[in-house]
Amino acid sequence: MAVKEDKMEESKIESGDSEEPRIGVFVCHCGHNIAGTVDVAKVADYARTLPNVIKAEHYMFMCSKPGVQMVKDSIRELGVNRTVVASCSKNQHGLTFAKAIAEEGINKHRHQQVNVREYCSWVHKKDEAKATAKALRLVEAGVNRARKLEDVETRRISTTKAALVIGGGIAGLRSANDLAELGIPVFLVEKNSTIGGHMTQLNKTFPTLECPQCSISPLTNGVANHPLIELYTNAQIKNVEGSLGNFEVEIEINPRYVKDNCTSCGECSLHCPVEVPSEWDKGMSMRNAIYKAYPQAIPATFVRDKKACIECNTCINICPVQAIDFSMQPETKTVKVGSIIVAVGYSEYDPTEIEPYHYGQEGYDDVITQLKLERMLSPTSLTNSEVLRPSDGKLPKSIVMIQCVGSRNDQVGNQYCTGVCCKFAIKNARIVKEMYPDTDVTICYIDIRTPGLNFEELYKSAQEVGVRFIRGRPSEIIKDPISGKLKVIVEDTLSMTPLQLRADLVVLSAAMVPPEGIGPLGSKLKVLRSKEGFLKEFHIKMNPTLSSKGGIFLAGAIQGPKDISETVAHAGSAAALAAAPLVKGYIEREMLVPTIDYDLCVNCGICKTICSPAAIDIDENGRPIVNKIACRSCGMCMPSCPTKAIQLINFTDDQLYDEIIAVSGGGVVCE
Amino acid sequence: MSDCETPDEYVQERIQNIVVFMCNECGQGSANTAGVARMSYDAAIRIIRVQCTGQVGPIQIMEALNNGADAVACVGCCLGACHFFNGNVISMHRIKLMKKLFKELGYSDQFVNQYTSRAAEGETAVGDFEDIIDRLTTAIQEKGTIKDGC
Repeated sequence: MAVKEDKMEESKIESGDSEEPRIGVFVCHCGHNIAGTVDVAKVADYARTLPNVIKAEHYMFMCSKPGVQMVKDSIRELGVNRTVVASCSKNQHGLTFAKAIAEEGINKHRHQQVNVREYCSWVHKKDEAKATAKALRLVEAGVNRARKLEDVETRRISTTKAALVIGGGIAGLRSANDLAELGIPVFLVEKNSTIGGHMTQLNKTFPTLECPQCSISPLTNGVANHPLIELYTNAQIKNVEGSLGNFEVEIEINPRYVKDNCTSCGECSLHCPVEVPSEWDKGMSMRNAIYKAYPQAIPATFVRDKKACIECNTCINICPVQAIDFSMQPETKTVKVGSIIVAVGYSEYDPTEIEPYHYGQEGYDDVITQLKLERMLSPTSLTNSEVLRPSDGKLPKSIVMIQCVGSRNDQVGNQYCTGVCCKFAIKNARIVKEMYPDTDVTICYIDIRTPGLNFEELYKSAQEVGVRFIRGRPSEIIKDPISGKLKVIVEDTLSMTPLQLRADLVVLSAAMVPPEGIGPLGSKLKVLRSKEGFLKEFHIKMNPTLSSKGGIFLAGAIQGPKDISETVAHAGSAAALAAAPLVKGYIEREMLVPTIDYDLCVNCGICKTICSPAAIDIDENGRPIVNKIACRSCGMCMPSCPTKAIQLINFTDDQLYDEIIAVSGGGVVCE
Repeated sequence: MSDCETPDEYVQERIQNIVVFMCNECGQGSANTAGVARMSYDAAIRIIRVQCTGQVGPIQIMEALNNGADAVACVGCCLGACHFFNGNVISMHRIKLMKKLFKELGYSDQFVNQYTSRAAEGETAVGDFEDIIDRLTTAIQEKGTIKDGC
């Protein structure tokens, strides 16, 4: 059907082309703003001499009602079908005149705005002759450009009223909930067996030291029980087709091997003979092959780890409700959605590649990451919330925290500052120091970055309870060969003293890095990634929520490191933006898109590779096809084409050439 | 060079028009801001609006030079802030290649340049324009204008 529509549109443009251009030129005085520098009468006289110009006038204020009326009258009386107004910028009044001609039944893209104020009169005030000469050229260029302007259709695209949220962490939950509250059906896809993400692993949240589990459970429960939210756990995205407003997504759901009638009694786990380190607990405790990640996990249904399971069938026999079924198969589900929100979060940086810190090496069990410390401190931990050395289970007498592990480090390729490490390190240091006043807690930092409300206070409060801050990045963690104790070598750069800090426990504040598997997901979604590996936002300032592709939005740490408050705000913004076209039911798009001349096209596919919103597909015959809805009208495909087959409407090589001749003319033409 | 002219005048007379392709986003934005702030720059600068600097190909640049432009420049968004993701980077690569071509042909490589600007700061656009003229002036003093080379 889409193909049929395309053909109709092409024929329409061709018919519009055959009409002879009748151009009306209007030069604005803008009070003295333009007329004070540029000889407007001369410009209008010159314009009158140009081919196809039916009418050329100058007037005091073109944007005023009589000015706009002049434009309208010229259309009505003289049959002008293309207008050129030489006044201010396109952003300021371009739309005023475009609207005016649209009211007279002429496509608004047939208006050409020439900026002789910002680009000419205001910046060349001192040289009237040169400014007038330049204005002549600019107006001629505008007329040349107007001559070949074509109609651009505004098309209404109906949208599928449903959304897909990828990732069930705080960002995903927040946006899924917000979307559902707007009455939009949501498919929530989570890779793990439970929703909640990293937030459930934390012990306390800064700066108020609240319990994260308590903060997130209303949301996890709400999402799991929301009638409009369909939750898929153990699931991943297999394929994504379509664009803005209408996506078709294949979701692969791996079985839990436990049916929904599970009462979560835990008998199976209790009798399971297999024990493996718990991923959710960051390896700080063990779980069975059939397990629930943590007591409050949602969905509460148990899950079987097929890889770890030895298929002894104990659980099948012991289950009081016969919920366990090893014969379950993975299933693929295809859903149709209008918007996609990517909220896959982050991974904690794995410091093993920083050799001098010996993380994860034998004999260095007491070098842990902050997330492991969080797990140790949490109420459900194996150590009963005590901080104990993993090597011998003793209370550490001195703890050293190292900041900027994996962030602000060119050697590992991460230049960025994660921005939250200072905050969580200070929070944990303060908690530990308050628990054990006799324990020395030291933070080795490069810079302490605690911007924002309440964070500087947190920093101060940590200093007050006696946390020691040393400015310097540790060069190495060494192990004393005789005593076997760890020492952190660091230079205090404020007092210029080299130090060796005794450390019973070393905690690395590891950076937030893009999550595992983001590469394949990114390529399935056809969105661009930043050089750090996070998904790239549309514009860092003006639209940090939209991805490179229309209809795909980013929520939370997948766009870049964020703390929980920022993530929640970002997710809310993503939900609102994703909901807008779905609530309205349609998207209006101006079809300012390239057309491909298949007689010239050689099917090389270069345009496809250069297209950043992935709006060019290759069809079954190997020919490139422009997806008119996904296209962002940047025109980058144009110069990439070796045969000039692809041309952006109203910005074609031909049209630009006309403008270039007028603008660059005036000098000596090279023979 | 005629005798009555100083070298400066000679150069100035030969910088009559410079075609600047400015992208619809930051490029146009900064030029507008410069205008609103009544900054002033050389009247030789003539701006053509394109969607993105990535849209400007060698054809457009060569056409401009062939039709009498003394130099061509592309002004796009700052690196990393392209409104179409990487149009400015693509344009930068393209201009780099064109500079190479110019050198190989025996011309100065300053007849074509790529710049970035910020919509909120008119100074960036004016700075770019001044730089175009500075570079062109040096180039003309060294090797002559592009027309001299024909």
